Amino acid sequence: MNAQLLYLAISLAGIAAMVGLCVFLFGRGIATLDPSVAEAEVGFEVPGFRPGALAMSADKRAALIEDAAHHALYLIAARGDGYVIRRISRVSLKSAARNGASLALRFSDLTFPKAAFVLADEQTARDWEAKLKAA
Amino acid sequence: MHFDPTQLATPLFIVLVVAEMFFVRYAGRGRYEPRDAATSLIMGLGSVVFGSLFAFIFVWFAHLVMPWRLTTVAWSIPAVAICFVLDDLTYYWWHRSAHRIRWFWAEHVAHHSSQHYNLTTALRQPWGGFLTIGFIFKTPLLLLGFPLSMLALVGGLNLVYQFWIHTEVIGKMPRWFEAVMNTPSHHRVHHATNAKYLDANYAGVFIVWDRMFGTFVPEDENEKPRYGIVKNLATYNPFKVAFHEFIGIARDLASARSLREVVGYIFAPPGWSPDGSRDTSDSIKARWAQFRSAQSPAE
Repeated sequence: MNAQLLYLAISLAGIAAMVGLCVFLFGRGIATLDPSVAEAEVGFEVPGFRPGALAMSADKRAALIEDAAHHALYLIAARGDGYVIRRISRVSLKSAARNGASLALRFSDLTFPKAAFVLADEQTARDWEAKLKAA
Repeated sequence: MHFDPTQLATPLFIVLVVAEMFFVRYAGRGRYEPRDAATSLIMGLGSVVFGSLFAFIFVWFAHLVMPWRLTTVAWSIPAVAICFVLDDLTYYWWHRSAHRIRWFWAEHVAHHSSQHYNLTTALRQPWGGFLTIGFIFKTPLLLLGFPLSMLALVGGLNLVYQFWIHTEVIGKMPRWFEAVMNTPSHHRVHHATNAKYLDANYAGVFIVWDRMFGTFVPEDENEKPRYGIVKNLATYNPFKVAFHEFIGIARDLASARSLREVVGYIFAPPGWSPDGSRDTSDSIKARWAQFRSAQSPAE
């Protein structure tokens, strides 16, 4: 038992050292979004995607984007140095609540349960709240 | 005979991961992200822990099957070589099932959940093998009379071989090697989410199985692979990475309204739903094919 615990402790120390080296070499690698990146990323996943309305979060880490070709809404969020994309539908969206220019979304998705946005202004948030609730 | 190739190779894995990190940093080929790498490494350690805790299930299963074996294969170098090849064939079918049957995918998805493709991805091993009991694919080898210890040895060697193919640092190997063996190029295709690359290159060691069974897709230099799964995870939590699909199955089963739906949610391809509202790899490929033919009707 002691030998197994020692093995575990050494392994964890080794992992910590390797992750430390990774941080040293590559930094935190946080992605940011701009409209063209958001459109390109969603376009990669959705054949025939035609960019419609788009709202960037104030921190440029997430965006809501409309596919004008299929009348669908997508959420794209930076995760590490990459992005995660979800189609927003009545099935996936549990709730959308607005507070001023902020939107708080909850999803029925174990690995992506919620997202919060601060949009450009209150009217933009209001417009997107309406779009999301009609999705 | 007790010889664990994976355990013996661990120091080499560490050296190669560190070497790859430096190469990627200074040559600029490939990508690393610390939290992604941390998750992969913890998944690797966790798989050793879960594997040790639940190995008795496979041993128990093997002892149930072995009385029915046709013969008893004795230890020899030719026997190990034959066992290695046949084990790789069973690996191919297990792996293909792991992508086409949601129950097995629920375990295997953890390995594909990184959006990066580097040597730490090789270590991102699942924890849920004790739930899916994928080792039933070894039954033919047990019935042929290969000893359990020989299966453990060749299974370990297979896993060690697959380590080095998880990299973007290596382009293509010599043509003869690419023709027979699984390589970084072939396996990049396997880990890619590009529609043309989905459900391809299931091989462990010998790519000839994919060529034989019609699942081989070569890497196209004009289409760079994008890694991950079609619905990428927004978490680095290793427990969620390891078990999220099992929870997804449980949730779906709770809402199932018929036996057909129960069977579909467990055994149909990942993404299956009764109303077809979710994406499977087949529906994604069909949509892209339709889109491309609409784009270039003359082709």
